[in-house]
Amino acid sequence: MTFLGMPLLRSTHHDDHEIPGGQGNIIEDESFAKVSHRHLSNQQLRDNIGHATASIRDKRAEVVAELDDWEALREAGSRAKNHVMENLPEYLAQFEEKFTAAGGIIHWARDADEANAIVTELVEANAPVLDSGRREVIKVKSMATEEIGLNEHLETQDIDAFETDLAELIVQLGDDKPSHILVPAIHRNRDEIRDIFMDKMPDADELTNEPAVLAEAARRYLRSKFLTTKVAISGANFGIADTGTLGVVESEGNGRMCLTLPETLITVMGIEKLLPSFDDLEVFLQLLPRSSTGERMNPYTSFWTGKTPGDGPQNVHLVILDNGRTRALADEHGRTALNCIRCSACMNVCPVYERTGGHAYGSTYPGPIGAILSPLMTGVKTEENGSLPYASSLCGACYDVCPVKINIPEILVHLRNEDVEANHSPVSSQLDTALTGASWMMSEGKRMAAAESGLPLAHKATGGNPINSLPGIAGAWTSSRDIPGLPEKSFRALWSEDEARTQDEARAEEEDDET
Amino acid sequence: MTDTAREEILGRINQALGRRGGGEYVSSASGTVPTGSPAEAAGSRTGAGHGAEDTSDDAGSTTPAAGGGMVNQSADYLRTGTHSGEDLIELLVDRLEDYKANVHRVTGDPAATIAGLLETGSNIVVPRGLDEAWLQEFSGEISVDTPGQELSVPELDTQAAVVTASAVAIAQTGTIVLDGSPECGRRAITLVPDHHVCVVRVADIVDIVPEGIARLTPEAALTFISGPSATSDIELKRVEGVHGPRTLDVVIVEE
Amino acid sequence: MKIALFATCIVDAMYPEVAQATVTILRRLGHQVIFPEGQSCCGQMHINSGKFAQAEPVIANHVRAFTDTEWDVAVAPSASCVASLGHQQPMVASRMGNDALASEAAEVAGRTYELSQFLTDVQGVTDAAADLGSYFPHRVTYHPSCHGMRLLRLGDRQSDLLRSVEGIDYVELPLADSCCGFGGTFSVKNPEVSSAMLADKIRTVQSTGAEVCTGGDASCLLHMGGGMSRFQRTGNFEGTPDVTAVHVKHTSSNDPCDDNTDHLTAVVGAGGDDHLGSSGDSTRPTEPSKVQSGLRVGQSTVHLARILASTKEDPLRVQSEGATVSGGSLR
Repeated sequence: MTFLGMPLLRSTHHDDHEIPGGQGNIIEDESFAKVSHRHLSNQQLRDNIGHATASIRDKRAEVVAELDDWEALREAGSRAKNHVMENLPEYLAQFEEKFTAAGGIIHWARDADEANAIVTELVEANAPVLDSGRREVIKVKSMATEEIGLNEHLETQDIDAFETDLAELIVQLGDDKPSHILVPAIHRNRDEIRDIFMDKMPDADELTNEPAVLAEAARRYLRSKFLTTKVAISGANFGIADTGTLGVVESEGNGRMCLTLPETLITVMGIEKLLPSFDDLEVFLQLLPRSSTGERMNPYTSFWTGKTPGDGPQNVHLVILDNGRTRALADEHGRTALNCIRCSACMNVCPVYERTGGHAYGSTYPGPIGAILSPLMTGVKTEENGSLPYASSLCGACYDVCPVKINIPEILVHLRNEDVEANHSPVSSQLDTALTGASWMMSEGKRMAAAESGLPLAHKATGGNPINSLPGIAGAWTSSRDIPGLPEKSFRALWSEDEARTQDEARAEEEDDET
Repeated sequence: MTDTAREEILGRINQALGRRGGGEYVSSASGTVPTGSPAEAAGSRTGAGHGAEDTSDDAGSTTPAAGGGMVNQSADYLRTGTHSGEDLIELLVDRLEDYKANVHRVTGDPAATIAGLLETGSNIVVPRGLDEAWLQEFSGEISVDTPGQELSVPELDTQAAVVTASAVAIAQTGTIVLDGSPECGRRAITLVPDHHVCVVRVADIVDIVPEGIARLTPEAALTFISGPSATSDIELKRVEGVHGPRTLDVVIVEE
Repeated sequence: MKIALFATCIVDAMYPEVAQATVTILRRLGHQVIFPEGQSCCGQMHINSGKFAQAEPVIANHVRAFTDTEWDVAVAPSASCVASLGHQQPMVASRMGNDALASEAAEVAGRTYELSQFLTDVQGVTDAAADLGSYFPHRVTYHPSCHGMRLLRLGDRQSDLLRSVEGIDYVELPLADSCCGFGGTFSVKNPEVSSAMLADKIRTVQSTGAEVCTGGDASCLLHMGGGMSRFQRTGNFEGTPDVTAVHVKHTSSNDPCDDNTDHLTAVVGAGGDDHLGSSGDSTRPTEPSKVQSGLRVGQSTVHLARILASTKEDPLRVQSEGATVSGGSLR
């Protein structure tokens, strides 16, 4: 999958005094407008994503409506996460102490390279070399390991990582990339999945496109891996500071398999995943499943604290990952993006995501949250990440459903400002010029009036006809939309004429009265 | 290397929080709309100032609040449910069945019901602390998973079923929690066999999630189970039966 | 009451008739209306483009214009602009280090209402026919703007007012809460995504068979009208990949109690048990442009202020009655 001589990870450049940005699969190669162009005309993609997001939206709405205290839960979730971020060093230290006391081993990774190296070393120390000359690990779906490109890195180190989540498996077998954080294969429909399975599963017999049949095929394919593999790699949904507990929320049981049966468990978790106390789960175990899969509760949730004697892996490691999270934390106007619990509700309601799919965002984190998280973790100056904050009509649907109340539209606008301040495209575009002119004009009602005084002339010149084609940037508007003919006069002009007439009449009346 | 990374990451966090520069943490959630303005009045923009500016919970302090900093105590979400007695049991039954668990209600001795759920002559695994009386009617091979004499993974894979008790059941979400106690067993025994028979005592049923969490401690590994294993990964359509036990029988026992 | 009209820049320059209709409604309720001359724009265009420095003088101008004169409340025929006053102006002013401006802006915002908000919350209007004399005997569908729904939380305020207009044949718009794709500069920064959203929105509007599509924000209506006009002129969604996942099914009701015989159900995407067969009476045929072209020519957009201002004595005329439609907007 990788080419010799090509650096595996994309890095962000930074000044010495600046907190460095993250590396890996959080960097867009091309601007969003360019990439989305390729996906917009894919009828199959649009159907698949449209169908899936529409059904999950309905499911979510139903189970959220069941709870009278949903808004209070969101508020509590938001508050808890803000509190964690405010006190992050203390909570990390507390977590570390408890997890270590319970026999777990903690590693700290500043960036993707460092995390990948730590995991590789642990796998080499604990997974046997098989007859093939390679080592094997099983994995439970983890955004953090997607972000750092762990599988690609392990491959170069003669380690095969088997994804065990059904959707991740579909992506992996299809040599594809995830396009959604909950359902990485959301862009695939059942027919495509059947074809991938029949092509890539050596023992698969004839399969139908029934989801139950496909799930059964995945069960058979992975069963012996679960029962025999010595090392598993996971992410974590929660790290509980006051107990040193880690939690994974899942559906299929592949998580339980990975967390329970192997001898060695390596978890990779971002620094922001902490919750202050075990009791905070009473909020988050309500917010997450309902927002995510639209279920009252997901089928399986596992919690473990270091190693549990006589139960599960006895060699338990945790890699605590920065990779740009501190950079995001340093942005006082954007830092609440770190409160994200990866539920994916925002992408399921996003009209832009619904039409472009997740690959257009060029990052492990697509959709509205990705449009803020990726540039926050890398900085807007990195590659084309500065184009991500513009990938939104600011309709606000994402903020409404966010279980931890991340004000995504406001952070998008903030990051646009960052992009402007960074002078990302130094050659002033026509839009910039137009906005500069508009700012000057709109800073004074008189100037606006003066500009509008051109309306009668413009109205005459265009014959009051609709405007169907314009050059330059305005052409982006008229590429698909007409513009109404200009009115003869602005409201402002009409108002002053009326006022003048009324005053004249009033004066006339007064004069009449006097006579 | 790792120690350096630890210090550097903590240093970056301190820098990000402005602690070195004497700055204060500011949440990026907005709260700029004055309360009572029409921009707010129409609506359900909940919470004063979006809650983010609420610094009452020891913001800026350098240590987590005592007792681990449970920060939600002033929140007004529900901490106790409204169901009790038969309503509570019925809610649990409804929610379990909604997620495709099979539910059986028993008053008194559950032995006959449990035996009826298991294939006669089959082999099953049970945790060492399981009430022996529950298996009196079952005729088959019973392996007791005991510390020092654990069944291996291949052995577990040959078991037709596992029978356990449970720690807590949350009615509102149809969730059963196993806590690694002697009657729940270690995690692998409820994972590898394809059929799980789980006994829930009525006294262990709570209404809502906060009540369930309050009864638990994470000293042992915890497993929350809501129905048999399932996936929604194909077109977001829920399908039961993937890697975990594909059949979940819940036996609700009233004394 | 002495009411300051905040016309908003787009209405002032492009749709003076909407401001006039707003004045008509307010005067009908017995209020004195003034127009603070210095006003121009809320600054949203600059703010949403990330140009906070350029937005600041625009905000300052708004605050100056609306603090120069005495008034009781201000009213604007736009949810988006009113939302910008409260949700954005103080934030941007603070970000620019201008706290004095931020608090003044918040003060002005605190007394500024979107039209339907003013009519329902302040005036208690529940029946537009009775309270305003509103009369508009045409089939109408309604697009709630995103900022009205999600920033001002207008809920049913606008649709309830419309439903209570005498003679109106109100049809629900399928997938009404989907954004039309305007998004200010989004429409030119990501024109293709914007157009794809627009095309789907227009498909749903077309499916209603309504003669006009109304709403409370001139910007969305300008955008939607522009797309409708283009479609009606050229028979396709130019500049937009000819792809959609939106299907609207028509089903006829046999229920005699139901006066609205057209039931519209939107289905998004394909596949699964509810996979739509090709035989379905759906607006997404294999070749959308060909089948859809020529459908319901004459559809246009119009601001709800003009529908509310329309009376039996002085009715708002639609295209079939000889009114001009320009760029999809009813003049």
